[in-house]
Amino acid sequence: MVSALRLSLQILAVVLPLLFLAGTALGWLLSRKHFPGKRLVTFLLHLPLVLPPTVMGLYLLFLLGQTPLLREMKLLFTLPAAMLAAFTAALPLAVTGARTGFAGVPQNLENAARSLGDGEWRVFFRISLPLARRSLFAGMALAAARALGEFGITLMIAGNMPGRTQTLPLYIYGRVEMMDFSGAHAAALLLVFVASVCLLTVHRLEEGRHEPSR
Amino acid sequence: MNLPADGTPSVLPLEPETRAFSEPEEMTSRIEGAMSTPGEERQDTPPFPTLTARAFLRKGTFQLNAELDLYREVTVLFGPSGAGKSLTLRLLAGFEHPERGRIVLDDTVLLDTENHVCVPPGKRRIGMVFQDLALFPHLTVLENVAYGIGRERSENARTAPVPAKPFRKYFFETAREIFSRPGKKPPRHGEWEQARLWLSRLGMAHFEERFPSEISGGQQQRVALARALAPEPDLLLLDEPFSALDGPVRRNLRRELRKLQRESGVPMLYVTHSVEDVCALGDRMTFVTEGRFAGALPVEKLWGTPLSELHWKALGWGTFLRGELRLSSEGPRFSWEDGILQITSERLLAASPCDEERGSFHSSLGKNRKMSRAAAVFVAPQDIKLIHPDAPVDPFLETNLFKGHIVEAIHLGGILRLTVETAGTQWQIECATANFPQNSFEEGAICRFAVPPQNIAVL
Repeated sequence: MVSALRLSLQILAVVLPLLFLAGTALGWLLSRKHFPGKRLVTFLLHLPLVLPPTVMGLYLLFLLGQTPLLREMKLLFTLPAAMLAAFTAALPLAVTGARTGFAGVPQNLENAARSLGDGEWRVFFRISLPLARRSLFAGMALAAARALGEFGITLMIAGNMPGRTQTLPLYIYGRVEMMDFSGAHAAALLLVFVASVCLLTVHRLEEGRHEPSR
Repeated sequence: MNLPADGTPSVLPLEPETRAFSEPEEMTSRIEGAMSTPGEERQDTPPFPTLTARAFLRKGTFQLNAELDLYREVTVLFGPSGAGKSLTLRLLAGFEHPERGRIVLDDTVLLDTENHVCVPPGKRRIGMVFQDLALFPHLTVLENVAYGIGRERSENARTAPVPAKPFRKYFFETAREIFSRPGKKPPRHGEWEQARLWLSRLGMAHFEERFPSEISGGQQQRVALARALAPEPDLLLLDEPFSALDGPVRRNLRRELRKLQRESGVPMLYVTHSVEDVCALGDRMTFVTEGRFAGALPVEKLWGTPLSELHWKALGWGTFLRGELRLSSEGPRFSWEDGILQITSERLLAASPCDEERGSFHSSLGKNRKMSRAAAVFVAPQDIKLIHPDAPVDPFLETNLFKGHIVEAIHLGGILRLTVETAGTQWQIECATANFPQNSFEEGAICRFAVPPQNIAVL
């Protein structure tokens, strides 16, 4: 279990910052800019939420295994593949959170900052981001829970190799297959704990949003 | 103006675009004042405008044709809702990009579509007070006011921008902020003293630690003003800033704004649809309707004869009639759909737009008695004489006597304001209530009134 936990944490450590960056950037883009193909991008971004993970996994399997350049990188059934699986599954949640957050920032506030001498970057870091942060972090908490619990896509493209690609959810699966229920329970309890923490964080952030934000 | 011999009325230039509103004499006197005493406060209006803006913008079906010249004073942009007032401000501030246009502020070209110049909002040195104030809710009052102070906004700022906070640092700070109570934030440069100064100037010194949500509307208004003025902008735009406030607070703030303007000399463009705001604040006003600008007018002249139908419509004051001017054997007459008014030839003389036309028109009227032209007349409400219901009519007032029924009667202190309808025309009448018995003018009642010819202004 320790190795599974370590792998899961490794994945989170890499995936969460990436999710934060990608989620914030895409969320801002979708809430503030109009560009051709915006509907398509939104559609594709939300697809992982509704597609069965095995279907997502199948397509990723072929993408990584068949595309010339990606095939040479030999990503399949490695830790980076597990990271990709977690990233894909969690990205919609991160983007949605960020998008809601940025959409909730009145454009007049951003204009006020501009009229006070701010360039676009400063407006983003000093006005948009601080005011959107509740939604943004709520989205991140949900995305973290989703990334940690990723099972289907991981199984399809990273496999279930103890010590190499076996994350906590896969570990539980493996224990149950071997009729080692105590091990499964221990890992499950850990995941329940982490998921609860994430959910409570989300609730706390959501509650605060209705109060005067600061 | 030479009229066609067949007597068809030729339309006089009544449209706002073609009428000249500016006062050349007044302008030159201002120039001379500025030359001789450059240090004096009220006279240092520069001979040329601080800001000139010409821009055309299309938004859906709405077209805005902005034409503005601002001086070192308060210019009020006045017009009904949806006339494009706010859009004009957004255009000047740089939030909207016109299809073509040119904006110059103090010799700096802010926008020139022909030469592809467009200075971003942050470098225009134009402050703005928003209608919804747009105070930053996550910053304290003091932080709000200090926000724009000490920012480099000159040309070289473009090449060397102030670096944003490093992302990593930001990430951790934000994360910490979420889970901890908001505490005091570290000072940034040295702008706190300046921000405090502005707060105390607006009487908000005791509220610096509060958040915008913790102070009242009037106080928020003061903070918004302080925030916009603190960076010492070259121009201040105000978008109906006091529209959400009630009477006394509004009056106080207006007075203070006026004082601040006098002290700092910063040119202000104030958008409003309240006539009271115009009179209390403005030095000069510009009408806007449906995206069209009708030139500037000194506020002192606001309540005189309107310069155009646009002006009259914007004020909604007095009686304005469109019809035909004719010279008959009993003197000049004005006829419109519902009646005839006798007018005096002095008022007629004063009406023609320029000397040349004045002379030729009058002489042509004199030579050919059948001559007529399209015209408009205006009567101010206090110039109409209401006739006592029981008294006989003074022979003096018999010339333009009308009888109509009262559509609306409002008692405003000692003043009675009536709207009287005579055969399709509505007249606005104001008189002192003291001269008439109580309740003699009820809604629906019949009343008589006279329009003295010398009080009719011909446009």
